[in-house]
Amino acid sequence: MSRTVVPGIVHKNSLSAFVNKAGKDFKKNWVLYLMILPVVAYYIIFHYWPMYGIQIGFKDFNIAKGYMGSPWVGLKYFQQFFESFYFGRVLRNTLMISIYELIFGFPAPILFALLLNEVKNRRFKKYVQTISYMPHFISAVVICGIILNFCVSDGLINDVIALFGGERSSLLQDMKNFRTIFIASGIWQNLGFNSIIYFSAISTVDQELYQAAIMDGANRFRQVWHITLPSIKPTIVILLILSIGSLLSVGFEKIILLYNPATYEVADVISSHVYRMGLQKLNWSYGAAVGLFNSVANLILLILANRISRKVSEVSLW
Amino acid sequence: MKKSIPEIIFDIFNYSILLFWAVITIYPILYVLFSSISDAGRLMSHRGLLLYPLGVHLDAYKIVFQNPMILRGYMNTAIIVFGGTALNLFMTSLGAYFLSRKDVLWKNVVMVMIVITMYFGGGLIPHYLVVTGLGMRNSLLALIIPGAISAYSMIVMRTSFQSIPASMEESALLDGANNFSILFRIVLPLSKAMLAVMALWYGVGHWNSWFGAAIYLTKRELYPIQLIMREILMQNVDSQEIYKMTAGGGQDDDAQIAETIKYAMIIIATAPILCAYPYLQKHFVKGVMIGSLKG
Amino acid sequence: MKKTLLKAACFTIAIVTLFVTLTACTEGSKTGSTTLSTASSTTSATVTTTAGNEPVYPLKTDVKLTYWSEMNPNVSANYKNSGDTPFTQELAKRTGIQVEYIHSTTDEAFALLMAVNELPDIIEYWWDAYPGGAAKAVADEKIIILNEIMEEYAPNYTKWLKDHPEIARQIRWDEGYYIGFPAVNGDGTINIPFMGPEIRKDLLDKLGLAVPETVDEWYNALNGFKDLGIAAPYTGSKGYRTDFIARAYGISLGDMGTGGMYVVDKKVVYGPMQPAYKDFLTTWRKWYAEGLIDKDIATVDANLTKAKILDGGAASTIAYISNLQTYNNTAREKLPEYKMVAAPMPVLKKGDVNKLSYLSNPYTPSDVLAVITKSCKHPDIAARFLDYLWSEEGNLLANWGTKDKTFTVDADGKHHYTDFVLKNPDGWSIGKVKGGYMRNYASGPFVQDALTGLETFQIPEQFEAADLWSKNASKEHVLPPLRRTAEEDEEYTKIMEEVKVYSEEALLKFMFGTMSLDDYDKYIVQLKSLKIDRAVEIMQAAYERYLKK
Repeated sequence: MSRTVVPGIVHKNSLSAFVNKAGKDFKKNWVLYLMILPVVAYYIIFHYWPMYGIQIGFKDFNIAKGYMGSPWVGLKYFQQFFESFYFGRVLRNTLMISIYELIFGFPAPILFALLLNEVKNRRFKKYVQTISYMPHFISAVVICGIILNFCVSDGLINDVIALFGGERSSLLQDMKNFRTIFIASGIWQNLGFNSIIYFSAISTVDQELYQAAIMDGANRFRQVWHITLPSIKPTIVILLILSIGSLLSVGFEKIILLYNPATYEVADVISSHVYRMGLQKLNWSYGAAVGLFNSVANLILLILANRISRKVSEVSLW
Repeated sequence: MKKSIPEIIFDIFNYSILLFWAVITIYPILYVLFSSISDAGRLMSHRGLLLYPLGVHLDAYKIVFQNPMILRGYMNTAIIVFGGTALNLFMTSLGAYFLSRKDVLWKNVVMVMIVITMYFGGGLIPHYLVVTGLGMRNSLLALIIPGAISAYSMIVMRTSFQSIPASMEESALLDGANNFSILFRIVLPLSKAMLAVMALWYGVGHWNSWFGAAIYLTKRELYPIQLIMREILMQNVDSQEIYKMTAGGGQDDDAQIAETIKYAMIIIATAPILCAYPYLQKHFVKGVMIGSLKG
Repeated sequence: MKKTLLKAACFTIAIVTLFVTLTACTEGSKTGSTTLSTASSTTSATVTTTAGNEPVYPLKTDVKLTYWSEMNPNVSANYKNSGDTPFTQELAKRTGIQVEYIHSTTDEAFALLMAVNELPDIIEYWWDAYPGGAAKAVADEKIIILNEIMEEYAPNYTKWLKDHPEIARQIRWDEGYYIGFPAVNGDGTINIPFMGPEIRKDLLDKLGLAVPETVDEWYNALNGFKDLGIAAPYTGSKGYRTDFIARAYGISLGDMGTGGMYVVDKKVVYGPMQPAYKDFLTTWRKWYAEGLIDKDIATVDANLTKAKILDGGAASTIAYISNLQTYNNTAREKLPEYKMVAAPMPVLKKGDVNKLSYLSNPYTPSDVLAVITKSCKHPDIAARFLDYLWSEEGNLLANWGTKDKTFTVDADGKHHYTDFVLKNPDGWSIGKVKGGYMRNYASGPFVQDALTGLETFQIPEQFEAADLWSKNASKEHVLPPLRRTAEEDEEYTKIMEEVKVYSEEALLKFMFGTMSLDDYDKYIVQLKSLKIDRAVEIMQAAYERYLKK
C-alpha cells in the first residue's frame, strides 16, 4: 500500500518521502530520462572523466611524470599569480573591459535586430543582414591590421578628426583610447553575427499578437515595447546571465594584436599576462592555476547573476 | 495605413543608419578580396584605405590551389561540418527539451552538472587520453563526437523551447502523445528559427576549428581546410628569426607574395561559409502564425 | 535552491570520485611502465660498420626509422610529407636508411607526444621548450645521450666537435652530456650580421649628406629627411625599433630575445639599467619630440613599416640584408632612383668602433635539436642517419643540394646556386626550392653554411651591406649560450617577465615625454624592487659555469 502524502503532516522518515517522490517522478517522466541519457553519458565521458586534470594547477606539472607523478605544490602558482607585480592591474583591466563591453556591446545587437526588423523592404533587410555578419569571419589578425591602419596618425580616423578641426594623434598609443577602440572594433566585427539569435527570437513572436495590437491602435513603437521586447526577454536575460558568467574571460589574441607598452596600463589583461608567462616553457601549471581562479570567479558571478535574475525577472538558469 | 510624420522620420533615420552600418561593415571583406587579387609589390607599398584592387593578378590563387591538399581539405571539412552539425542538433535538442520540461525532479541537477562543465575541465592531456583511449585517434570522429554539445547553445535552445505555449503540448498529451512525439512533431517544427541559429553556430564552429585536427590527426589526408591554411601561413615561428639572422634568409622574396596568398586563402577558406547564411536566413522570415496550428 | 545544489553536489562528487579513482588506477599503471629501454649498446641486425676503409654509407639495413618534426611552410606548400621531397629521398638513398616522417603543427602536439609512452625514434624539436630542457628529458628517461655511441656511430659529428672546441663547449651540457644533433648556423668563421641600420642613399645625396656614422650625423640626416617632408624619418616595427642608437651608447636593449643581458668584462649586465642608458634616453626623447622618429612607432606593425619604407613615408629603419632586395626592387618600379643601403652601426665619436654588433652565436640552445628517443630500438642506426648530414657530402646536400641541379662549383672551388634555385622556371621562390631540394630552408640538425646566404644576394647593395656590417663586427659582448637550472629558470622567467613589461613601458614613457627624466632614479629603484639584480645574478652564475666548462 503506497503512502499518501498529506500536506501539513511531517513524516518521520523524510528520506523515504524523497524516495517515494523520486519513484513517482520516474514513473511519470521515464521517457524524458531516456532522452537525456545520451546527453548525460556524453558529459560524463568527455567532461567528467577527464576532470581529474584539474589538479594540474596545484602541481608542478611534468609532462613525463604525468598527473600522478608530478609533485604537489598546493597554492604555489596561485600565490605567484596573486603576488605578481601586475596582478591588480590585469585583474582591473579585465573587469573594466568586460564591463564596458557588457554595457555597450551587449545591447547593440539587440538594438540592431529591432531596427532591422522595422525595415519593410525585404531586399534591403537581407543585404544589410548578410553584410553585417561578414566581418565575424575575418581573422583577428587581419581585422587588427585594418584597425591599426585606421588608427595611426595619418590614418582614416585621424583624417576624420582633422576634418572636424581636431588634432591628429597616434590613437593606439594613448591609454585613453584603448578601451574605446577595443570595444568599438569588437562591435564592428561581431554585431551582425551576434544579432542573429535575436532575429531568430523576434521571428518566433506570434503574429496574432501584433494584429491584435494594431487593432487596438498601437503604433510601431508601442508594438515593439509591449510585444516584441517582452517576447524576447527570456532570450535576452539568459544571454545576459551567461555574459556576466564570463566577465573574467577576455581573450588574449585581439589584445595582443592591439596593445603595446604604451597602453599596457589599461590593455594588459589576465589572459595576455598568462600568455606571456607561459609562452616559452610550456608552463602549464601556472596557466592552469590562473584559469582555475578565473573559472571560480566567473562561476560565482554566474550564480549571483542567476539568483538576482530569478528574483527580478523569473528567468534563470536554475 | 498611412504613416504618420514621426514614423516617416523614423524610417528615414533607420534606413540611413543601417545603410551607414552596411557600408562600414563591408569594408573588411572587400579589403581582403581586393588584396587577394592585387599586385604584390603595389600592395606592400600601400597604406590607408583600399577601395579597389591594385591591378588584377590571380597568382595568389594559382599558388594556393597548387597545394595538393586543398581539395581534400574541403572534403574533410564538409564531412565534419555536416556530420558534426547533425549530431549537434540531435543531441542539443534532446538536452534542451529535457531541460525545458516542468516537474522533472532531476532537471536542475542536470543543469548544474552541465553548467559546471562550462567552467571546469580537465585540460588538454586528460581530454586527449580519453579521446585516444576510445580509439578515435586519426579519425574524423575525434572532431565530431567530443564536441557533440555546447552547453551554451543548449541553454539558449532551452529558452526557445520554454516559450512554446503549454497549450500545444497539453492538447498533444491528451491525444496520447509521449515526449518523443511532442519533441519531434510539435516542438522542433515550431523552432525552425532556433534550429537555424544552432546550425549556424555549430556549423561555423566546425568550419573554423583546426586545433582538434592538429592534435588528433597525424594523417594529413584527413586535415580540414583551416588546418591546411594555417600550415601554409605559419611563417611566424620565433626560432625562424635566428635562422634569418645568420643566413640572411633569402626568404624575403617569399614575403612579397605571401601577403596576397594570405588574403587569397582567407577568401578560399571563408567563402563557402559566407554563402551559407542566405540559406539559413530563410528561417528568420516573419514568424509562424501559432494560432493557425491550433485545431 | 539549496536542495538542488546539495543534490547536484552529491551527484557530481559521486561521479567525479568514481572516475578519479578509476583513472588514478590506470594513470598509475601508465606512469609505472616507462621502462622501455632497448637503448643499451647493441649491434643490431645488419649494419656494416667499418673501422676505416669501406664506405659506411649506404647502410645495408631493413630498419625503418620514424622521425617526428614540424612541417615547414616551405615544404608543405608543395609536398604532402617531408618524405616526398627530392632532398629526403636522396638522403634515404645515400644513407640506405628508410625513414617515415611524422609531422605536427602545434606546440601542444609536442607536449602530448611526451605524455604518451611509445615515442618515435627521432624527435626534432625546440627542446628548450621541454620544462627543464633536454637534460631533464634525459633524466625523465624520454631520450638518450649520445656520449656512449658517438665515437662509433656518429664519427662525423664527433670529428666536427673536435675541430670546433669552442662551439662544442657551448653545445655540451654542464653535466658533460651530448644530447642529440644540434642546429649550428655557420661555424663562426664567417661573421656577417645579417641585420642592421638601413637608410635612403638617394635622399642623402639630395641633401648632400654622407651615410651617417655617428649619432650626430644621424641626427642631421633625420632632420634633413624631415625637411624634405618625410613624416617618419626613422621607423621600426614593434621589436626592432630603438636598439641601434642605444648600442652607440654601449647599451643593448634586449631586442631580439637577448633579454637585455650582455657581457662587459666578464660581467653580465642588464642594458636598461646602465648609467649610459640615461644619456641614450635623453637623445632618443629629443629626437622623438622633434619628429625625427615615427610618431606611431609603438603601434606600427611589419606591414605598415614596410609600406612606409616603400612609399617614402619613412627613410630609415633596421632591417635584414634580404630586405634590401625587396625594398629596392619593389620601390624602383615607381621611383627608379630609390636606393636603400646599409649604414654602419652608429658610434658616439667619429672613429669609434661599435662593439655591440647584431651578430649572434652559431649555436643557440633555443634552436631545434634532433634527439634519439629511448623508445628507439636501433639507436646506432638513428645516429648513423643523423650523422650523415655532418659529413662533407651530407653537409653539401643539406646546404647546396644536388650538383649541377641546384649548385655548381666554380674554378676557385666556390659553390654557387644555379638558376633553378635563384630563378626557378616554375616560379618557385628560393625558399620553396630549398624546401624541396635542401635542408637549409630553416634551422635543422646540421651546420648551416653561411656562404649560402651570400648566394641569395641579387643587388650590389646587399654585398655592400655584408661587407660593411662585418667590418669590426665583434662578439665581444654577446652572451654565449647559457643554460640555467630548472629552479633558476623558473625564478628567472618570472622576474624577467615583470622586468620586461616595466622597462618597455618606461622606455616609451621617457621617449614620449610622459615621464620626465628627472624621475630616472625612481625608475631604477623600481627596477631593483622587481628583483632585476637577482636575475643578473642568475645569469652571472650560469655564465661562470660556462667559463669553467
